Amino acid sequence: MSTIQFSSVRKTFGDVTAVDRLDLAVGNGEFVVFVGPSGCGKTTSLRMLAGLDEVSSGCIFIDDRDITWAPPRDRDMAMVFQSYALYPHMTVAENISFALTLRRMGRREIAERVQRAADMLDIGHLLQRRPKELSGGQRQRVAVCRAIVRDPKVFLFDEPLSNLDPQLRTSARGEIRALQRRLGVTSVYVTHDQIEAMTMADRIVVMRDGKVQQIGTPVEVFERPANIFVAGFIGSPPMNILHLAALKNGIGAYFGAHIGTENGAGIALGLRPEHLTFRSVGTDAPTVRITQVEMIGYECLVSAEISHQRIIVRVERGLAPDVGETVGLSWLEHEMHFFDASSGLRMEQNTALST
Amino acid sequence: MTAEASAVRDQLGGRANGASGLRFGFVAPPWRPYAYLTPLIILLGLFTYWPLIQTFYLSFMRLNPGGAPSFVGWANYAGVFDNSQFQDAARNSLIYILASIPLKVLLPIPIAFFLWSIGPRLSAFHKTVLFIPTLLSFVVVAILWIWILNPVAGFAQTLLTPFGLQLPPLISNSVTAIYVVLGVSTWKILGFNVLLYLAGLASINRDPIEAMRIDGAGDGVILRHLIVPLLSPTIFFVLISTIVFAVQQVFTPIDVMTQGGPANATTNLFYIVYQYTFESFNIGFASAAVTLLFFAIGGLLLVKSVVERHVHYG
Amino acid sequence: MAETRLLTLSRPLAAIAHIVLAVLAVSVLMPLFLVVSASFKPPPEIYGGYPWPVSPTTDNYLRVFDKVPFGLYLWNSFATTALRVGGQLVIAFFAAYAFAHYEFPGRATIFALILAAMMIPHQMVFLPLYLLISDMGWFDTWTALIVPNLAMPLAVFLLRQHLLSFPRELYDAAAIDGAGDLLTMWHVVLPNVKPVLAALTIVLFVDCWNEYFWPLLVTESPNSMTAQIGIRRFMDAERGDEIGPLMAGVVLVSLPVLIAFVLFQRQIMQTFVSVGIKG
Repeated sequence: MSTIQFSSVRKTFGDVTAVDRLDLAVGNGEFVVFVGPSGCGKTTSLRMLAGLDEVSSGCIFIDDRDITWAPPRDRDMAMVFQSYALYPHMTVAENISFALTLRRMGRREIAERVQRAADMLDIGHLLQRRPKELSGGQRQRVAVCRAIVRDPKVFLFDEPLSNLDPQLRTSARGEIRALQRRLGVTSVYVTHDQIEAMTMADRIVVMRDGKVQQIGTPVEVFERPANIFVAGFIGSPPMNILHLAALKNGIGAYFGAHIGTENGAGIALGLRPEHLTFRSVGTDAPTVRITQVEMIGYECLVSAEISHQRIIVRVERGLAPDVGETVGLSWLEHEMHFFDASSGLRMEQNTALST
Repeated sequence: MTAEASAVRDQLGGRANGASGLRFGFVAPPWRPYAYLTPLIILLGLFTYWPLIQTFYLSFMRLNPGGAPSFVGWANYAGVFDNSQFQDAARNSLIYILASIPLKVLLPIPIAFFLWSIGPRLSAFHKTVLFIPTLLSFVVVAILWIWILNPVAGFAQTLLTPFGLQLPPLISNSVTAIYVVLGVSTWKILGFNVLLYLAGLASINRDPIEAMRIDGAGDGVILRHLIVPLLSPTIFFVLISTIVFAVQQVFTPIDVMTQGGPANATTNLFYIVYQYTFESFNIGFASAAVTLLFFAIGGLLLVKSVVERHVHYG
Repeated sequence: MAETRLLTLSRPLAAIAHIVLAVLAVSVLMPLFLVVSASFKPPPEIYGGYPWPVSPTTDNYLRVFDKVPFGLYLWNSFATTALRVGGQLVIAFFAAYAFAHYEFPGRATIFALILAAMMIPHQMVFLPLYLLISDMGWFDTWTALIVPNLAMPLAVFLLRQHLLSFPRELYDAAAIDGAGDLLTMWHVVLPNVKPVLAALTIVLFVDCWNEYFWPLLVTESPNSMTAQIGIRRFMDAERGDEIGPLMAGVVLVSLPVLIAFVLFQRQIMQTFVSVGIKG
């Protein structure tokens, strides 16, 4: 039950800047998810918070206490690792209670705590086994159990679901979030999977190449992405980004009527696949040529081409056109996202259209 | 940074930017690893590197009866080459090395093949038996063979007596003595070298062998064209090790059995250093001899690494 | 060393193989047998007589403790070996941990220096070392047997290699759980390197127990003499008269290593071969 503050935190490895100016305040009991592609600096940020990597500059506070230089054991945090990091030579019970044993807790109290935590995660029957006898899912629970038994101020998660089978992942992420809600412990979670971020987070921190791209709630990040990268990263399939300048006709022409082709030069248009629909070819709508149709169940992902740019549309199976067809495209006005094509930053619609 | 954090950081002696801190840079005092290494470094410095330098130094000195050593330049090296004892030692080492090659480098090869071709249980038995001499100390082995070869009442003699044969005194004979030492050290090392070859054979990739078999090649062909060439790195390794070992390490059997004699028949380049030091008290000679030896071996190892770089079949 | 019978020899060749191997086996086992049996023979049977004792006796074993302070020799060997191997392991472990666990300036250089020391043979340094020992007043003490040999680059190399392959997250987890370096070493690292440590212990033990050259130089009195030297002195002193006790001594000196061998056969052979290849 604590607050965390990253204050201009920066991490360099020699010439390489792994994290460039991280400023973030995490509230009491909040579940914050760092998300981004490999090498974006999310894991490094987590490790600095944990004390496993040194901070190059800046400060980190927990409950207004500056812990930037405190060794890991003084930070009262627990961490769940990607490959669980269970001690292979200890039983599950010993693994879970290791930290408590180090703090010289009484044997009976340890046993009680371990039992309680294990029951919470449904692994009470595995306490005497060794890690190598457990399945991946069970090991993951042991790792989580090890974290909660310590009753720490902060939970840290380093891609704990990455090594699980996809089906397990879905159930596991719900369980983790439910557990965290129940215990109310402030948590920082790192993942490369934007679905995990969207479904689990109170707030998301999107990172890329060491820089924070956007901090916001899942809704904010989804509906108002701060730049092209975030727009393309959050949401599956990713948002279609169309560079208006390159569109000689079709959409460019469509906008050309409103804003003129010169102005279209600096603008990228973002449209989410689920916000696009097909209609018959008409004068108003830009036309596209269908290149591929993939069925994913109730819906189809339809790939289409417009002026050498590719877009993807999500439609119900029955409404999907055939490959090779040329159809019209339409969308709702308020579902358009505009970005500055060179900087990638978000532009407001009227700014884009009025210039 | 807050005052509190500064205090903690100073306490830890932390650096402002973790310039070198790669993935292992968690917050810990930077002197830690050095502290862990200190005993080792001190020991090596004091008992290995410093004496090494001193040996070089001493090779240029002569110890005078008065006490103070004097600088004599290359005189020791010249003197050593002139010294008949040294010449004997060098000659003995050469004989020893040359004779060691067939016995310790080549002989184990067919034995390894034999082991490779018989059943697993029998093979395990033989391997175990052959390995035993490796574990015995050289002293034990030397004493053992002194007793067996004793011309008066050794066991070899008791075998021969019923046939009316008399075992000549092999150890005290200046011609045969060195061969006794050779035989004894072969007895001790043979099993180990066989195991080395077995390890080399085990690491040979089976697939080319299978391929050749399918192509119709018989065992002999496979042996000659595939296995032996693939084994050559191991052979080379054993060769170099044997030579180095022969020159550097064979001390104990000489000391126990013959003390370098009779008449310097068994002294070798290692033993002579001992003799110079403790029999003639000529520290200068000893140091010079050992330095020469060092560079000779060094040269050999250099050759080895150069050849190894070219002889690598992967 | 799992192998398949990849070569099938023709009949006559196979016969030769078996014969050669049998001859070799006999050449190893016979002398050993002789020694053991001689150690049980009463004096009249030692010279000549049958290969086996007709009327076996344990007198020789008692006499060897009588004629020379053999018990003291064995104790010296045992104590100095135990202390030395223990020291070598501890020092090597800490060094290996530093290399495997930390990044620090000079890491590669220091490691290279340590490896280079492995190349320096005994004879290069024994002379000044001997003088140093005398100067320090360590001559004829356990210290002289133990201390100069405590640095074992081979052990550092092997341990470091093993520790490097350790999943790094385990170190992290231990740090988060609250373990400092020492606790991490004790609770997390050590239990997982037991096989390597065991292998090293065996090699170092045998190496030290069988050592001859260095103890020859630095020991003089029975107070520090090791069993190997003791046995040799015994032979010199009683040439010819006390073969029985001498053989008993030989057996006793070889016993610890051989017993370990009987118990841990496979591991010992594998260890020696792999260490031999790396060293």
